[in-house]
Amino acid sequence: MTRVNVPGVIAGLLTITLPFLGAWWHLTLGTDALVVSAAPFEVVTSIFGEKMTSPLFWWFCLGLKLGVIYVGVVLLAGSVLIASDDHTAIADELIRFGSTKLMYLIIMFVAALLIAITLANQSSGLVPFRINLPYLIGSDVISASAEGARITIPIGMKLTWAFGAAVLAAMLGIVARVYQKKM
Amino acid sequence: MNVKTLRIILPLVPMILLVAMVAAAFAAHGWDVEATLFAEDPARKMENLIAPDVMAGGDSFKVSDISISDDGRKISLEVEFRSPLNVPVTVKELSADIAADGGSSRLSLQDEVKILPTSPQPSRLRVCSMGLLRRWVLHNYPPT
Repeated sequence: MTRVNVPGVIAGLLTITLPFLGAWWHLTLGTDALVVSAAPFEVVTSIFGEKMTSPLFWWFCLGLKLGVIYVGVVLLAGSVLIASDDHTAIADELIRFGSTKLMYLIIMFVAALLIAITLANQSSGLVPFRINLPYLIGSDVISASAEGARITIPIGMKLTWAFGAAVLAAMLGIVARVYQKKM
Repeated sequence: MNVKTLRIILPLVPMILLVAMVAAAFAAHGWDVEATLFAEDPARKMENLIAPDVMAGGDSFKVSDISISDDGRKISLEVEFRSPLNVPVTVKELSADIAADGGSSRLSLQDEVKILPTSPQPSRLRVCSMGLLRRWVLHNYPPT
């Protein structure tokens, strides 16, 4: 039992629970005029309370959810299987595969958000209002001027604790990989 | 199962999952591309949100009455506001700078105002100045 890869077991269990922890990032425009709740496996957009959905996107996200659970199960299996001397090579391979995928997912998610925010900020010259969105977290206003009148709309972004759990799981996955090599 | 086989199978499973889910999305909607992409027609969604008057370019904001107090220190404006949206909206903050009395005065909302969805009768708001034409306050009229 002492040969079980403990960081891998924790990382695996945490990864399996991730799809059930909700969104990683929230965007709010106005009080609740536009609300976007996003994670790599779900994006919920609500405009004045009307939810915008696409069945294709929902099914695709379901595939990503199952994929994340699969990665967690693989990491967990590898971390437990290492206790068996007969399956060390297979356990190594399972941990090698499962330990890094979540980190890649987080990097891609954050990069996609940063690119989208940068593009939106760069588009200020193309639209009749000033956009100065915060990067991932923070709050600001979008302001538009026309005929002497100016309207400002507050915008807020925040990362959730589910994102923190994902980062923790990814870090534990890396620790599990290093730990495995030392076992 | 040897390691080589496992190395091939492990990354294949998520890919198969994604392809299967996309196929399931189309199969669940009778292989209709539009129905699979959009749960509801986006144009109809927008019609649900935006009033027909706005789509037709109708006025949503009109000053219907202006009155000045006897001492000339207070101005009241009655404003008719027809919401451009089919959903209730609460305006929590609103301000405007106006040129008056050789300087500029700020018109601001004192309390939040609940704007009802579009209806045949517009919402009526009262705007009035406070003090020496330096502070303007927008009131919901009649008060709620």
